[in-house]
Amino acid sequence: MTNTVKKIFKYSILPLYILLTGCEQNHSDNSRVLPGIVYCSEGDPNTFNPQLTTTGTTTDATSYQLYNRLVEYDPALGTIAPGLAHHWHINENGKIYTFYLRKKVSFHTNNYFNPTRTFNADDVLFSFNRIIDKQHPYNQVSGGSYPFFQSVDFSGQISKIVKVHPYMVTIHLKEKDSSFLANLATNFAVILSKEYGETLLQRQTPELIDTNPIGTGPFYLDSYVQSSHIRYKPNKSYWAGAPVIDQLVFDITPKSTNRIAKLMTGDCDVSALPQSSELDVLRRNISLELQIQTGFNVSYLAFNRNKPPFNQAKVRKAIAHAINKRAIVEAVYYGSATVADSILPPLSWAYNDKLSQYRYDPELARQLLAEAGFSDGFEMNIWAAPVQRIYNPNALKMAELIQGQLAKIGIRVNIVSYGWNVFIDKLSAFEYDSVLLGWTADNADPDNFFRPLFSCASLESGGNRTNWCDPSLDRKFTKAISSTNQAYRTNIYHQALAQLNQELPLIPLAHALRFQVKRRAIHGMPLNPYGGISFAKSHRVKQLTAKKGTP
Amino acid sequence: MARANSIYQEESIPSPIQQIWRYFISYPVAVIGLWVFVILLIAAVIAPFIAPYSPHFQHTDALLLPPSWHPDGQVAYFLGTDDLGRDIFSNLLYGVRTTFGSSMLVTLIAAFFGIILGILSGMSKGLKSSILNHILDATLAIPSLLLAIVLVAISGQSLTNVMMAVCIALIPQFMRATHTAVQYELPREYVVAAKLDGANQVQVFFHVILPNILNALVVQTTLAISVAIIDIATLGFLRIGVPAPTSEWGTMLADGVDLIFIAPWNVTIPGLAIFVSVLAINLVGYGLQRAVKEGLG
Amino acid sequence: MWFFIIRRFNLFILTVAILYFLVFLMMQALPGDFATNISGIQHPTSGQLSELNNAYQLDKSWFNQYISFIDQRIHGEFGVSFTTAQPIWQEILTFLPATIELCLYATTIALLIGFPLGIIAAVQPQKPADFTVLGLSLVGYSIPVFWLGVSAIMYFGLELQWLPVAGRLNLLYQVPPITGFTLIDIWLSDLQYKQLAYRDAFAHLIMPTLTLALIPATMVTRITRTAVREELNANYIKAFQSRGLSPSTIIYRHALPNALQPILSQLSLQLSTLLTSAMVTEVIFSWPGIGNWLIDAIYQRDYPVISAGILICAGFIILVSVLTDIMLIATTPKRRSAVDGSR
Repeated sequence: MTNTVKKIFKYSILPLYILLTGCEQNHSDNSRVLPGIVYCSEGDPNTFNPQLTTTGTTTDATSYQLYNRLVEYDPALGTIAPGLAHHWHINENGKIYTFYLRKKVSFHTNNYFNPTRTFNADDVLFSFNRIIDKQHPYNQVSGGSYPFFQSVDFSGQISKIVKVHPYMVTIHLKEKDSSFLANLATNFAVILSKEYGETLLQRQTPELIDTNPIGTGPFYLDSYVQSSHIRYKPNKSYWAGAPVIDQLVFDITPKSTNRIAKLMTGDCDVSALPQSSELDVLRRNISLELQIQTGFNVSYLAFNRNKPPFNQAKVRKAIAHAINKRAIVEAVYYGSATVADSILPPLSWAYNDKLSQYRYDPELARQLLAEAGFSDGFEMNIWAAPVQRIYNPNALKMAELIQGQLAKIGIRVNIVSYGWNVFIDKLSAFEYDSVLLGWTADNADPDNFFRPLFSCASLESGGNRTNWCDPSLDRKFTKAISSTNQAYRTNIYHQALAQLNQELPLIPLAHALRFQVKRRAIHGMPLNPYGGISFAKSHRVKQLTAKKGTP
Repeated sequence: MARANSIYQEESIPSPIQQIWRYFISYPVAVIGLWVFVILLIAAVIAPFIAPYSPHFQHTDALLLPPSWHPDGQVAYFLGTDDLGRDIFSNLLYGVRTTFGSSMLVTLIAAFFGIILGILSGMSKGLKSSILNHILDATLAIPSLLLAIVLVAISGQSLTNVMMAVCIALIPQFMRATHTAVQYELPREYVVAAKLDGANQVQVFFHVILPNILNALVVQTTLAISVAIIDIATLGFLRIGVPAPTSEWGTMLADGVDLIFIAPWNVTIPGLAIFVSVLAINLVGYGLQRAVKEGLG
Repeated sequence: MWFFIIRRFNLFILTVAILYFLVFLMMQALPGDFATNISGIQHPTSGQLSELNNAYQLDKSWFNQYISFIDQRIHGEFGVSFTTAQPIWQEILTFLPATIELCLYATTIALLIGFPLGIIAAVQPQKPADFTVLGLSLVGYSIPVFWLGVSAIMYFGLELQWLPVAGRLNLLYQVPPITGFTLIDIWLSDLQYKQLAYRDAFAHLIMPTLTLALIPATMVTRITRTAVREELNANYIKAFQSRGLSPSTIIYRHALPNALQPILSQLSLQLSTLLTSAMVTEVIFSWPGIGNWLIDAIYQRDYPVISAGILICAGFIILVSVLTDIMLIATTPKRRSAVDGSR
């Protein structure tokens, strides 16, 4: 009788074994019949219209997938390239930009919208007037906040936009602005469909323009399940050539170890933001490929400058001296970052290498604190979000490190954290003492680091986390963009950097290298230095030799 | 034991406790379990004195060191370090207090209340018993995890909340075990005999029932300790437990998952610690169960 | 017999009422506005506010509020989630089948493994087989489920890359959810690539199910072993033996069916442990079930979801244990008297 039982055992193990080995086949050569691509993304987008946001997660998900811009940025050449405008010119005084628009560009057809005409100048006016014209029916829809545009004072710059004829638009500026074209090439300056806007107004559901998007881009939105996935299907009539893949899925996976695990086991084909600690493992895995880019980003500890004791310069400088940036680069970035001594990375042409450094000196820090009247230290909180960003792979860990470092000079730190969307929401109330955040540049222009982070306008629109602004600094920013002379601009930016170094509204910490990791079989995915991942040209290549041991 | 210098050979019959102990010792696995248990208890007490480093101190020059038997490891950091340079061995030792120590404390408190309530419900009859039973069933259905979720939702993360949640979740188990044991004893002949003798409820309980259910209670307590350890570690793993920085085994394991590619020992070592302590307790419990059965026939 | 079933059902109602009361109390104790927490609407307009007042009797005594709270929930109105602003009832319908699927498969495997092992151990007491089984079950019972899950991921997923480590199905497969059980839904759908979908779903099921099944398997083993052992010591078994019945007949026809009843009744006590293990397993393997949903809600401080999740989980446990009880009462007369309290 025990024999029968034993027999039952043996017979049940065999099928299990077969199934297991069968499954091994399925994953180790990855020859899925389904020609789609799965991208492991690090979070939910908070909207489907990049005009409304500056967070990388949202722009990654939407900007290059769903939309196009008037002009695009060519990362290889470092220049502005044609987008929906195939040609343009600027007049002699630099205040009038003329754009010649492409013909036969169609918008998405969906189960919620059927376009009757192709793209033309009306759509350009619609997309930009929404932002600058307070009377525009869509200006206040979905909150009325256009953070990037507000921080560069877009509506203040433009005096009018004129439709000359259906395929020609002129934009008139009030003052010369050398960063204007670069701003039109950013992730945020997408072109929407006016016809869609009018249809939605008729249906009395205008907010759908941002949640059920229609654009001219290579993919259209098929479905979105919050915290789970976004499904895109290819736009068969895309003007630059339809994507070859059958579907594109964004698998929303906040934890980096999960993303890498999915990548290695075949549930994902491309992954965002690998942690620097995982890079070695990724390099060793022959079915994966690691792409590296130098980082046009910065992570910083911003003070709530209005809140005592952070309104005292000595306190801020004491904290700056107490932070060991090198240790942070080692522990949090595993060495794949450079210590930041200013907001600008050394790559930028406006970088100032003559700034006085706040070297790591706990003794000096304690002394400064005592001079400020805090010889017994004090309590403060650091807000850190539990998500990965390009500029910071692990804010919580960074906060813990800083907590330990500040403890040495007598400051007791509490770490406060919320889920990313809740976090961003709560920041606008300025309840924090300090917060760990950062910035990834949208274009190569140094202005992109200054106005969105420090201007009084960005204090209104939400990019300025220091709760402080200085009109004299604002004037410097405006002067800098009024010229195209690089030497002149460099000079002004050097002055601005020096001023920021003295005022220290935030402490820059590190510039991170950018990574993207994908399966070797996926091609057509360049790593863009200025954010915004694009799947337009992605495709899967059949591997001829997928066995281990082959290079 | 016979004394050499006495005339009479004394026969001393070992008391039930001694009998149980003798049977217990004869199971080697149970004795091993008991040894480990005692070592853990001692470690919990003397942890601050024998730990080589302060558990939260970040050694920035010694990040992610593997355990000392690995070629890259150092003896100074015996079990290696985590990604902030904290010594794993010291954290493990302090974790004995957090995970193991609090489970002991929680079990004792739960046992105290649970047994008293179980006795009250077991000895009572009628409506009072019914009501207590229904409340018991309702609370039995709520696992400690859900209770912890409730407490954390209400008053945030803290060790106290975790301990309260696990404690409250354990009480019904003790209640039910005691209740069943008492109900089993009540119809016995010797209880009836005592009552006929004129003993009141209290006397019946203390002199007749209690000695007979003591063994079941002890066994239940040891089982409860292992449940408490796993519960506390689980809550720590899910990060519903003590906030950072903390030396709790479950939380250490969760932190280790982030390093799973480069430092897998951060996952294995705390896991082993939990496993070994729970196994030890279970072995002791198993040994006790058998010893009680053999000892009291 | 019907009398007992009705009694049990009454008990069920009463227990659920107490559960609702406890959750109601909890909601009062949560930070924030009670009306917001109970409905999920974060900034109610005055129109919504008066609707809420009506629905939950917010301006009357706490007893009225309690009754209307139960009333709303029974009708499927759980409010909306803070994080997704979707009706919670919809989310429950999406996630609950995933958890049930996982628990069902895991329990089946636990029974398939535990029963035979327990029987083997019971019929050969004090022999090596018995000790091995006992040892294995003790060791298995002591392994924390999260350590097992993470180690399985480390080894089978990352090291060997045999099996996927997250989710139920690769996202490229779009299977319309009809029952919520992946394998059945694939069968019911009209996709062209069903074979591949089955394999993918199965591959995703293996590790979570086996991880979840370990602890119940050890419990089934021990309980079966004890119960069968006790049955085998009974007099009627000795009578059969002396009459010359073959061992297998004795075990399968007589001892096992009688032992089944204490086994099942003991197992139903383990439900809350099973659910906790299931929740942890879901978190580790990113399995989209109730447990993962609930634990996420804790991180997001999503109070409506937390209270709904507790009601569903605890209610589920109570329901299953009552059903098991009724099933046992219906099949064995011996048990009825124990429940009844009479001798």
